[in-house]
Order: sequence, then C-alpha cells, then structure tokens
Amino acid sequence: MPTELLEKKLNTAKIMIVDDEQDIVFIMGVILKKKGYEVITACDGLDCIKKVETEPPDLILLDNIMPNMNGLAVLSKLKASIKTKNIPVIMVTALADHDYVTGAQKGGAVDYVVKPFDYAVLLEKIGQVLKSKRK
Amino acid sequence: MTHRMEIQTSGKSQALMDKEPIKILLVEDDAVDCQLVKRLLAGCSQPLEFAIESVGNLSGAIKCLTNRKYDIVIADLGLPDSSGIETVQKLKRVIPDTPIVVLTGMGDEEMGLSAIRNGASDYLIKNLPLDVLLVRTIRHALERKRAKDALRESEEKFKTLYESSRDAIMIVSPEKGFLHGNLATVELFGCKDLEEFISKAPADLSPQYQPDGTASAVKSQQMMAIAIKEGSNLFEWTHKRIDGKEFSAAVLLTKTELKGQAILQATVRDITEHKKKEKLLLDTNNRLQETSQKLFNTKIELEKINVALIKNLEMMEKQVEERTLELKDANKTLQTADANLHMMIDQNADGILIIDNKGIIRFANNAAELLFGRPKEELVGETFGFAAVKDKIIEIEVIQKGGKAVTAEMRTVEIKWEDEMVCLASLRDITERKEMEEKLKETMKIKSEFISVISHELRTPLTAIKGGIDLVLDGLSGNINEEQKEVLDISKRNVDRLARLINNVLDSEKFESGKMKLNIQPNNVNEIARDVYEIFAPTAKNTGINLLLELDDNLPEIGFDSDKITQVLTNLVNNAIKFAEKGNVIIKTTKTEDDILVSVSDTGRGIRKDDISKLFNRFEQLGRGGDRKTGGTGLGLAISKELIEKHNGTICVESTQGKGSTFTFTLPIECPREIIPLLVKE
Repeated sequence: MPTELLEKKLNTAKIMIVDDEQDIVFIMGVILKKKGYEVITACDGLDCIKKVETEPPDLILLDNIMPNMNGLAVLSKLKASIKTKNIPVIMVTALADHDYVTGAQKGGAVDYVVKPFDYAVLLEKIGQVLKSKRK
Repeated sequence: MTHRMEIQTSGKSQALMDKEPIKILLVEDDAVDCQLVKRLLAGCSQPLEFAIESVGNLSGAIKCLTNRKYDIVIADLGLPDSSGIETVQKLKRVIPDTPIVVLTGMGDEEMGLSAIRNGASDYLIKNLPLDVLLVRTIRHALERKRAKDALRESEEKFKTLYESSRDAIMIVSPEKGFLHGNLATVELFGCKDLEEFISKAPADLSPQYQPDGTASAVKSQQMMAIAIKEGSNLFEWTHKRIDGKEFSAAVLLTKTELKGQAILQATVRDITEHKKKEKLLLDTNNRLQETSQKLFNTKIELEKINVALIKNLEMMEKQVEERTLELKDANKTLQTADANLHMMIDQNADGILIIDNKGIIRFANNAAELLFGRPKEELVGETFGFAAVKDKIIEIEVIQKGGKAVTAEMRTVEIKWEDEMVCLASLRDITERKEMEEKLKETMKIKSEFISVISHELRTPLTAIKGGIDLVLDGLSGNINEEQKEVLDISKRNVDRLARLINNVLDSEKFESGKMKLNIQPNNVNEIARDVYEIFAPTAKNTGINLLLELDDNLPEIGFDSDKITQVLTNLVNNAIKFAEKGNVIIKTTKTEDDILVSVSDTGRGIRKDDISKLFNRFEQLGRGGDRKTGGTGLGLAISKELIEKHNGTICVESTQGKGSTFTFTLPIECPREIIPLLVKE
C-alpha cells in the first residue's frame, strides 16, 4: 500500500505513551506502530520521568489520573527540566473539566484529548504537533 | 324662846305692834272735860291705843289739822273763837274726810243732830256717863269712815276701770234703751258726749238691717231676750256711728240687776280691724296653705327627682362597678398579654439583646443566655463586643465560657426603648446550620468527586474498546470483510453513544453544581462546523442522508469554548440524522449585525407543536413510546440550551410537521465581559 508506506516514512518519530491502564497502552501502541511511529511506554508518572531521561521521545501522550503522581504533576516536572522541557506533551484524560484543561494549558501541554477518543482525531493531533515541531 | 315671845307679844304690846295708835285731836276749852276725856281714854282696857293731843280753840285746831293728819277729831262745839254748828262747818272745810265727833251739853241734843247733818259723824252728850259710850262712839265713827272710804275707793276703782276701758261698756235696758256708757262708748259711736249717747235708742246706732237680712230693731230685741234668759249672749253686730259709718262689732250682753230690775251690760268692741286682720290672716293663711301646697308639691317633685337621682346614682354605681370589672378584666388581659409577651421574648428561640448607644447590654433573654453561655445578670451591664450594623444581617462568632465556639447570625434594628434609641439585636444560633452547610458542601464535593471517578472509570475501558474497534475497523490489524466491518460499525456507534451519554451526565452534574466553566478562546464557527461535518459524513453516507454544509465565509473570529460548541453542534447534527431518516441535513452558518447564527435543518417528520416547549427540558424525549427508534437520555438538548445560554446566546427550533425542523443557535459577536477569554493561544 503506497499510502501506508508513505505514512510510515513520514511517521518516524518516537512517541512515549504514559498510562497505568495496560490495555489502553497496548491498543494505542499497536495503532501508533501500525502508523509507523516508534513507541515507548511508561506505566506511571515516575516511570515516565525515569525513562524520559535515558530515552527522550519526540512526543509524550500523558494520562492524567495515575497512581503515585498525576499527569499535571508529571507535566510540571518535565517542563521544569532543561533536558525535557522541549518535548511536546499531549494530555490524554478521562476528566476534561475546566480546571484540568486550564491547568494543562498553563503547564505547557500542547493539546489534549478526552477519553474515549477517536483515533483519527488523536493521530491528526499527533501529526500536527510533530509537523510544527519539525518546523 | 318661843314661849317668852308669846308672853311678850300678848296684850297691849300686841296692839301696839299691829297698829299705829289712833291719833286723836281733842278740841276742848274746858280743862276738866279735857282731863276727863283723856282719863277715860287712857284707862280704857279696849284693844285700842290712843295718841291724844288737845287744843283749846278752833284756830289752834285748824293749825294742828293743817300740819298733821289725825284719825278722828273730838270737838266741843262751844269754843272761845267759835260755837255751835259753825264749828263743825269750819272743821269740815279743813278736814272733809276725817270723822268728827261733837260733844254737846245736856239738853242740847238738837244741836248734836244738827251737827251730824252738817258733816259730824256722831255726838256725845256731856255729863252722861261717858266711859263706855265715848269709846263706842269713837269706834263707830271710825268704822263708818272706814266703810265710807272703802266704798268710795271701790267706786273710784271701778269707775276708773269703767271709764278707762278701751272696750265700749254700756248699760242697756230692754225697755228704756241706753242708761249709761263709758268714754270709749261715746267715742265709739262718735257722740258729742254721754248725754247724746244716752239720748239714742239702740236702733239709732245700727243700720236698718243686719247682714243676715233681719231688721236691726227686731234682732236687737231678740239678742237682749237671749241674754236675759241665758245670763249672757255673745254675738257679732253691725253698728252705725252717728256720722252713718258702719262697723262690725263683737257684742257681749251680760244680764245684771239694778234696783230690782233686770238690765244688761253691753260690751261692744269694734272688730273692723280685727276682721281685716282676720281676713288678712285668712288670706295669709290661704296663701300660706297655697305656698305650703306648692312646697308640698315641690317636695314631692324633689322626692321624685331624688328617687330618680338615687336610681341614676345606683345605675352609675353599677356602671362604675361594671367599668371597674371591665377595667380589671382589661388589666388582667393586659397583664396576661404582657406576661405572654415577656414569656414570648424570654422563650424566643432567637437570642434577644438590647444594646444602648454606648454599647452596653441592657437586656438579654433566655436564648441569649444560652447563646453566650452566661447568665443574664452577667450579660446585662457588659459591653457588647461586636459592632452592630443597623438593618443588616451579619455573622458573628461567640466563644462561650467553656471555650466552645458558636456561630450566630445577628440582625440589628434600631428601636426606642425606655425613651432612648437603642439597638435590638436578634441572634440566631446557626452553628448547626453552618455545620450542616459544611457537611452538605463536603457531600457535594464527594458526589462531584464520585462522578469524576465514575466517569473516569467508565471512560477508561471505553477508550480501550473504542481503540480496539477503530484498530480493526481501519484494517490496521489486517483486512476485514464486509460483514465484519458492519458488525464493528455497530459496535463503534454504540461506544460513541455510551461516551456521549457519559459526557452528558457529567455536564449535567456540572451545571447542577455550578461547576460548568467555559474555556473561551477566539475561534471561527466554520471550523467547528467542518469538524462536525467530517465526523458525521461517514455515518450520514451509510444511512443514506445527504449531509450538506452551507457556510458564510465572511464570519469573524469570536470568543467561545470550542469544545462546548462542538458538543452542541454534534448533538444537533446527530439528532437531525437520527430523525431525518432520509433527505437532507444542512449545517448552515450566517451572521446578523450582532450574532453569528448556526442552524441544523432536516427534512424529517417534524415536531408536534405541543412538544416544542418540552424539547429543551431535561430528560424529556419526544415520541417516547412504540415508534421510538432512537435512543438517548433526553439530556442532549437541555445541555445544549444551557451551554448556549452560558455563552449569552439563544437556541430555538422551527418545525413543520411532515416537512422537517430547523434548530438554530446564536453566539454574540461582541464577547461579553463576563466570559472574557481566560486563555490566549500560544
């Protein structure tokens, strides 16, 4: 499929999925890989912080409600470190209330999607973010 | 003593004491005779004592008699300077009332009798034994004189009485008429003198007829006859004076005798004045009686008035009593009311304080006592530690004696109390309410959190399901046949429906708790319309619906929450596709001067008029029943309405049954102040 090949060629970026829900991580991983992205995963906030250091991704999909440390807290840690502050973060959340959205945008997230999201929508957002990052 | 006195007063001495001695003047020129008479009188044992003086001639006798008074004179007629009868006459001239006993010589008795005729009382013949005779003669002479004196005295006395009487007294004889009349009689009848009176007959001194019509001449005889027969007669008589003037008189006739003949003494009294007086008296009496009657009548009236007054008084007393009772009742009621009021104030659930303008507590009720945890006596007189704000409700926190904090709501009004302006503070213990409110807040928070958790817990598995379906449906896991695709499409539609349901429930809860907040940013409505179109295009195509876009390319960017407007438009388009069944669904954007209009129209069956008003109500779903083909909670339009109104826009529907419906919402071009963008795009 020429389009698929084209997509895979374009989507060379490394995306980190941070979520404590392993089913979601798996399905998202499959979809992104099928779309040509390299996927790394973290099972919670602490795991994310640790892995970001050793293996910095081009984009992070960050869940909000997780044990130990919530998404917004992880976001502020990422933005506080020089090494990680330029990695774009798209918040993925089941709870999109006003305070959260405001907090996410103030904390430096480039965008957010609300679970259950449409994969087409998510992929489009990822594409836009990576495109603007390359620029 | 008494015995001795008896002895002393006996005999001569008693005569001496009782009577003055009889003074005798003896006129005798013969000394022997003189001596003889003296001796006879001195030796006399008679109960008479004599004081004898003697003179020898007439001139001496006259001298003595002129100087002194003598009881009797014994005189010899033959004196040197007088003799015979001449002596008696001369003596009589000097002493007409003193008895004179003459002494005559023997054989000269003729001379004695002549002397008696000339005023001598008796005579004695000298030379006859004189002893007894002399004294007897003296005594007789003296007695005669005494009797004569007494008679004369009596006559004079009666004459004086008779003449000086103011009553007219007269002597009348039935046969001879008037015999005599006193001075008053003469005056009464207006006569010149007694002679004239006596010359008149009784009829002359009366009118012809008496008032009873009887002739006076006849009636006077009758009256006199009665008096003679009965001894006296008292009657009224009309008299006539000489001058013809008549007058009324009371006449008393008394029978008496004169020289063996029956005569009448008449006493006539003019009673004209008396009559007048009597009449006056009668009149006066009548008037008095009248006056008395009047007085009596007046008295009766007064008594009546008095009775009425007493009745009135009694009534008034009764009224006063009643009033007093009423007053007592009223007073009692007032007291009860006062006591009730006092009790009400004291038992009022709210604390009541009176605070004067110096901030001193002047009164506190039971509830205030409880609220402050201190007795009234302690509160009154203390300074109230909180600023009393007039006509405003404020909350204050009171720390009680034990350290317990109590929240009270204080309402203050200014009132007049004991003639000064004070603050009346009502304090309501709202500690419990506050606690309840806190609890409620917490409960609401828990509820809110619970809903958050639930939606999270629901969305997370949905994400995995949806992702899985998308993955397979997109052929990322390999090619699928038509049948597989159809099944997965159904799955995907229902997952989306479930997701929308969850979103609606969550939004509904947000509106309820007031947590719905907008994320206003500059956006273009056309972009939203295109996004929604993209999302629904495949579904529309699958169901044979013509989904069309009619966008106004000149729309300005305006401020709105793109997620919320997307949600509203999604809801409208979804409904339109659901109910259109076939034909067109058009998403259209236009603008007016003030607003941007977004409408979604379909060519469906339309909505009944009655249902239009219910459309935007929560949980209302039209056509609930057998023909209900499509699902939903009925929250969609209600939430859409609330979201649009939150943007200061409006949403409405126009529908014609059988032809279709058009839903239109507006968004103001001018961004309202209260929804100024909170975020600015990077």
